[in-house]
Amino acid sequence: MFRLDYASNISAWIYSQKRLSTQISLMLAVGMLFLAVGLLFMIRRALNPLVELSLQAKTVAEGNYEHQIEVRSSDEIGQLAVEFNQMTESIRRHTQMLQEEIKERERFMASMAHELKTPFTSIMGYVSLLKNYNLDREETKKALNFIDKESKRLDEISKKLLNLFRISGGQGVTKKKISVTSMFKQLESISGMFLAEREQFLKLEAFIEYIDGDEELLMLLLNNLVENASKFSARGTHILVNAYREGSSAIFSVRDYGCGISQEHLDRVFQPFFMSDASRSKKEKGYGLGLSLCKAIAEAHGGRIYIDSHLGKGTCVFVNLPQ
Amino acid sequence: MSYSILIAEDDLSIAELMKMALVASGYDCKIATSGSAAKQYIDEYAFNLALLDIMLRSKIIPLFLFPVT
Repeated sequence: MFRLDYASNISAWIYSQKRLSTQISLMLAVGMLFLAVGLLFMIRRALNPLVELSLQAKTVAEGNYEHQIEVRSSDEIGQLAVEFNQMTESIRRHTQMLQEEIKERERFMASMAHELKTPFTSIMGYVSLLKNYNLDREETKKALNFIDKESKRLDEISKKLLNLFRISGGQGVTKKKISVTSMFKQLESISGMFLAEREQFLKLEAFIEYIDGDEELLMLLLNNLVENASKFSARGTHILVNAYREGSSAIFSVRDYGCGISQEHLDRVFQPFFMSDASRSKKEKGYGLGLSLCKAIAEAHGGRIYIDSHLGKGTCVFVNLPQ
Repeated sequence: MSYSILIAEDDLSIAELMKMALVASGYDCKIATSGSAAKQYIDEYAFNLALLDIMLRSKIIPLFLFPVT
């Protein structure tokens, strides 16, 4: 039997082990700390655009659509910022459009009130004249004639307004196949009277046989355009009406060789009650509703209306109707 | 002598209405439906009063320089 006794001092080893473990713990702690700081920084950085986005959402909610968020990255958050900017821009455009529409409506209401007020003032005035003064026979007749004329004017304006409201509301368009030749025949007979008064005549040229549309409304449109052309042309001139195809659309064009429209007035001629010369138009019995009506009719057919005009040379109105 | 009044108004029915009422009240009236017609009347006649349509004012205001008797 042998026995081996071994004795060694391990306190140094234990000490170094302890030191090592302290060192490791310390390094771990520092590492964790760095990691935590790094993570915090990264989270902050990632969330920052969201905070900005939330602030921007509040600004938009308060009605300020001008400010845009700066897009700093192309990741999902950057994409969100881009889309948010697009949304703000779209809201801004829509709000602006609505504001313009409201302004236009207000203008329209003001003009309408004015146009209706003038005949009323006159009618009420003549009635009070007849009631309060002893007018002679001739003057009484004159007063009654004015009352008659102004009531008819009121009636005419309300009819045109009703048409305008009905058509702008998108109601009452019944499309069917219409023969252009028969439309032109009707146009000749409707406009014949007032053209004859001014010794003017129509030149009609149809390059298409049929179109799809609401016959009654399209006749109203053509008649209005011809009436306008006649009013602003000299006696003895002619008015050219064409119907032709352009791509998938049917086009009506009404051309006159009259006084033309100035560039500054061109944008406004479709506004209800707009008249380029108030005093002349009164003499010509205009209300400034004809072209608004034509525009509403063209738009109700999904089409559009546009004008080419040169002062002193004449005007051509085109009506484009998709088929 | 009755006083004379110039009515400058481009809406004939309103102008005639004013004229009828004023004539019935004993005034002398002339109607001008445009700025140039108003100018012509002012050159030819002496008026005591001019009634001007506000819409015609830009054409007529320079005429205010005429003598009112």
